[in-house]
Amino acid sequence: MPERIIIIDDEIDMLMLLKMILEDSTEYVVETTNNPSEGLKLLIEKKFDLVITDLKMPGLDGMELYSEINKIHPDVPVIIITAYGSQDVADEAIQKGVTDFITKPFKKQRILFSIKKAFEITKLRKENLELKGKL
Amino acid sequence: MAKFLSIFDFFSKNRRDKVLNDEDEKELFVERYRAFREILKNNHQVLMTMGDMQEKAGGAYLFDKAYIRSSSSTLLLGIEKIIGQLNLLSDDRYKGLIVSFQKCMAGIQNLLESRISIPQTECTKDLKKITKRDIASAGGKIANLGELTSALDLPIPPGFVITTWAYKSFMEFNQIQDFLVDELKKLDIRNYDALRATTDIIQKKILNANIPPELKNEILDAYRTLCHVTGQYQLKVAVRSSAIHEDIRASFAGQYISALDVPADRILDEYKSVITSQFSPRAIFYFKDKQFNIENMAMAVGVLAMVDADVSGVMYSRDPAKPDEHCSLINAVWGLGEYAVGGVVSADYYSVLTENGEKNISLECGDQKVMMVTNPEGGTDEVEVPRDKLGTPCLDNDQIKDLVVIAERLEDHFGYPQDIEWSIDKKNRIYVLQSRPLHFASSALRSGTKRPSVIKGQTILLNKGKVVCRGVGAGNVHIVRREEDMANFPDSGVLVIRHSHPEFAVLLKKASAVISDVGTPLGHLATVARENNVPAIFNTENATKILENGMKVTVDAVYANVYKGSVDELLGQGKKEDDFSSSPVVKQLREILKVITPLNLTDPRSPSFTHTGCKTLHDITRFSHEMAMQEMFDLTIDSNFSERSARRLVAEIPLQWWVIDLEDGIQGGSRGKTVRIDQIVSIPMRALWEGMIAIPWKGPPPIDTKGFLSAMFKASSDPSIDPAVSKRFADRNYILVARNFCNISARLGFHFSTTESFIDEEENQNYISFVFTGGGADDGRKNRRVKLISRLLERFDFRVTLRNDTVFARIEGYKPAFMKERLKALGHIIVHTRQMDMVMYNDKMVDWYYKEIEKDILSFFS
Repeated sequence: MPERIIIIDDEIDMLMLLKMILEDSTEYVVETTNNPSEGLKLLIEKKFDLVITDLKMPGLDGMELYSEINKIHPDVPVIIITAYGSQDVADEAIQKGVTDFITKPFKKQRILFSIKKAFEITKLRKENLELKGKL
Repeated sequence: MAKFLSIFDFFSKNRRDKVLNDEDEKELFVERYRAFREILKNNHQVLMTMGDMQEKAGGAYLFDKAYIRSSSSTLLLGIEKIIGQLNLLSDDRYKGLIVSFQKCMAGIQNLLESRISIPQTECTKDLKKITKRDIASAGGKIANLGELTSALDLPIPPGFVITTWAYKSFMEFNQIQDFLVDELKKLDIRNYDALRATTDIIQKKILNANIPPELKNEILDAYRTLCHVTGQYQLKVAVRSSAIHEDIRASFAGQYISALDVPADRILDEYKSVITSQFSPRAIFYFKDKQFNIENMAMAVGVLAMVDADVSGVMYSRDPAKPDEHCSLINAVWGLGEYAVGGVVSADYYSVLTENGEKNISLECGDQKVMMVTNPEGGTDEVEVPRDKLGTPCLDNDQIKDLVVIAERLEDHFGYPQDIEWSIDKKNRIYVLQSRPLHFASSALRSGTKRPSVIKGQTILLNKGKVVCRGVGAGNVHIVRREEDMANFPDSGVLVIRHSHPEFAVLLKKASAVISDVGTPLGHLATVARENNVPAIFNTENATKILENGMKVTVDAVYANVYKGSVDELLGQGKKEDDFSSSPVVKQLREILKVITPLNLTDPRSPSFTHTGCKTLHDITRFSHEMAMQEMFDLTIDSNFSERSARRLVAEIPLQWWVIDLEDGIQGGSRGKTVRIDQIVSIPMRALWEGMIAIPWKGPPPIDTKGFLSAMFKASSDPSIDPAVSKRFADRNYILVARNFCNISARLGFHFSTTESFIDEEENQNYISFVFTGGGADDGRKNRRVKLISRLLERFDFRVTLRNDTVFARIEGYKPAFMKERLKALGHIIVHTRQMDMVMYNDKMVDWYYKEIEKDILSFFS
């Protein structure tokens, strides 16, 4: 089963580009929304393996959204993308548990690498839990 | 350079109106030096930002509008500072630059807001008179179609466009524009119900609006003319939308309606329907979300004779999965093309590979059961495919070949693979209905980046250097060493240069690639190379030595290799890797860069090198940088320092030389009446000095190091040498120093020279300027010495211009180590050519001294 990714960004252009990259380069199933509240709703209704979200969005920003996602699906990795990134915000985000923090502009390889890494971490965590269970 | 000539005016007149006391003079100078240094710093920042924006516009990065906005702001802020500082440096001589700056700023703001102004034109225009430049009045789709007939003479259906000016008149006549502004202002686009309700209101208002009588008449007149041209008096037409905004066309392809097979009495209503279609909830959301100006929604509408299509379809001039191959793809259906575009039916699929002039066709026959046809009463119907056509290919080989020839012509004309809609009527006439750039999937272009860094079996001539603009180019080498070489630069030649001087920018329109021995990726020429998408490799070290004029080469400005001959494997790759070029933000950035990066002011000697000639931000930067250097240069000559603001220089003996510390140029502060040479910590001054004393002067008269210094500086204090020189210059010589700067104006006997230099870590700011004139000997001897000096300076990488017996030399934009060596060379040349005019009795002497001095300089070069 291919992994399912949801992208949340209020910039339609970014959404389109990210979707295009992922669909062209990977087998992941990608859903997008430009409305963070709708994104949260989708996350409640459906199962996703990874969230990619913008930091600054009207209504609910990326960090608030992360807190909400964390309450519902603490195991789902979240990658935050921002144009307003400063090291402080990035550090804070990583400390809070965000998997990766990417600053725009970025190259395609950057996001693909970040996603791959996120899935590997999830896999390792799962294996770890299974081993602990067996023990 | 022209302005350098004016320095000689200073010998006879005092330009400054104000009479300042010594301390004021020094303070003023220090303040101006700071402004000058800030200009250099900001110039560097501005060029870095431009380079970054160009890199991002290359298509390999993902970014959003926030990036474009913040980069544009950084750029505008930097240039605003440069203009302010230049005016501080020059007593407001360049106030006029603000006008050019404001124009550029307004241009960028308009593009950022995607504001488009609607040109005042006729309300209708014949398609044959339209070219691709008419996007603002005819919309993108129709402007492109017009181009096909006006520039390529390709068969398109006859027709006319109802312009955006007509749209504006219609909206104003019905006062819809104000209504729209009000409705959109209060709309919350994230509330879908409200969005739907608002769009319903807007659409109804447009559908119920009246077309102004004049417009109505003009449309019907144009229709009657069309009937006359086609010879059909009940001509049915297709009414097609043609939006002006690239973003809209990209994001809403297929959203706007087109009405087919429209009879005369329905044209006006369909016009309104087509306009209405752009006020869909999705379009309104997009416009409001992007904060577009309402004028951007202007729409032109094409009215085209309906093609009674037997077969229609879509064609790609190149297979997106194999962009390196000459393979076209055709999709074909029976009847009208709407079913081929919409993918409603199973269409025929043809793949046509062109190899060695042969066209190899492969076919996957579709299974089309129904087709769309025109209804004699108007409109369209879906009918069953007639039995005799069922299961048979829609196209024969001749038709396929004719279509592919059209595709190749279109790709050649637009310089990019095309996505083409076409129809063939019942009389077997092909019509092109639309042609637009084919958007490649990024996977299709990945092959371009995965190729090996070195192509096996090819001879590599150069494999060093810094890629400044990515891509591949090929052509015959044309080495440009001096101005005369520029005149006969061939079309598609490979420009090979020692230095990346901005003067060469004029050649980039013709060049297929650029290679330089030395040069900076952040300089003006690099910016222009990226602007013109000319593959460029700088810093190859010895391209001018290894490559020869006329030699055919392939320049791989991806892996920084230059191959002998034509490497087809590379040339088939296309110019650039290009992943996101079709995204609206990349397009917007590219549009904005058109106001930023083109360089019109390439030659400082040109009469158009003025502030009014500045058309882009790059022009303003280039102009300001050049003027700042010249102002600084002039200022030092024009200044009138006294002993109180300066300290006398002491080497092994006291010299007739006074040092003024502008900023951190002297170790231990600026107290005391004298300063030892070893206290001077100015980087350029030290380098110049090292060159001056590296090798004791051997020439006439024979003198040791101590003696030569003494003689050299004593000569400068003799006011009686030249009565034409104003007293203050004859009185004393000044060295102005700062940690990164020095200016040294010297009268040495009968000649005068000025050396100025700035050296810092950022290579872009670095320069050396040198002017030399005069001499006591007769003209022949003087000129020989000038020739000697020029040849030596050119040998050590200076750009040299001669005017009578005056040498102007400049070098700029290199790393500190390189600049320091050039200053050492200059120091050596200054000392070792003094009084040499006396012995220059024939040309052989020039050659002899050239070799001697060159040998000496090379002996202390690393």
